[in-house]
Amino acid sequence: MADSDLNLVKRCQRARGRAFETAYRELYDLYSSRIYTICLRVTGNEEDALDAAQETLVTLARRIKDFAFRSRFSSWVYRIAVNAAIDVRRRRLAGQRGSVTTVLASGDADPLAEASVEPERSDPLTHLADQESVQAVREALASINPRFSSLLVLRYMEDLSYEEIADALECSLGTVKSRLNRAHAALREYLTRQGEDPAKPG
Amino acid sequence: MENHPELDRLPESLEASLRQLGGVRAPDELWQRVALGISEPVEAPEELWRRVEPEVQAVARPRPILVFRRVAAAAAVVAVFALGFLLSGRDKPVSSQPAFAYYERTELRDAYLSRAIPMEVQENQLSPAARMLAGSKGAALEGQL
Repeated sequence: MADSDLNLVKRCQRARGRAFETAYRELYDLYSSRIYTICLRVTGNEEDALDAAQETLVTLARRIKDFAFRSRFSSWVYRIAVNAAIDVRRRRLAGQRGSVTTVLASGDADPLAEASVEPERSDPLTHLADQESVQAVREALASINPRFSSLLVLRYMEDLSYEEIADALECSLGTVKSRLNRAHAALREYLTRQGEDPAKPG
Repeated sequence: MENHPELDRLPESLEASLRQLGGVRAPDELWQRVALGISEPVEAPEELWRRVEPEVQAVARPRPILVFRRVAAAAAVVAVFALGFLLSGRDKPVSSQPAFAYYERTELRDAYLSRAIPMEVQENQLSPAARMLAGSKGAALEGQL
């Protein structure tokens, strides 16, 4: 994070009233799209993404004075966004019990346990055209366990290093790698199932 | 040194697809929502209640126009009933009301009186309805009958 960004955070911490809104708007401009992307890819739809992003940014505004600069500010923001997106998606899924999209998310009692997962070695996805692939991946992210989705979003869309992900999710580097392996496996498994499903259009 | 698990890499095409899903621009609506969420509630100045109070009291009071309307409606109902009552017997032939005809037409009254046997009764010998009927038709009460 650049010094100017740190200064902006400090300005938000000191400001009151209209001055706070002005400073926070600048911070919003820096982070809103990143936050929205995480929320959109984890929740899978714009309505829930807006809810989750709003929750994230309002929480951020209310708690920014508590930020003590012990970790990266961006990691703190990502953590709040990931948790908000997962919460919103879980609330949504709670009303859709038994739907196809919940199968992978609810199939594991402890989907983030450290047990090793044999990765899918075959790659049935290479035949997909680009756009089909992107669409399939978008659906997959919205369907697999949201903790896996958020990990994939941080890694591939936000381009965070493993260390940064560990910082954002408050876990060890080893845990990040292990969970990322499980996220890869879940993504592959979903895409493979979808590719094999004759009922699936296309 | 920590022994980290080997990372299973995704196929390049899949990684590329994942990366393509990034960089979504937040819709303008998001700031509108957030701005609403972060704006601090402002305490209303005392003057606000002083301005609002008269209106509140005016709403709490029954409006004069409403009172007038109620009175007018009640008066209209009474007038209709009274008019109906007055008109109900006006066009009827006198002969259809032999019991009272003598009172309204002098010659008939004399004729009836010549045939009738006047009987003086005490007021307390009449039923309340008979007393009202006699009074409404001009009968003298309290010994004047």
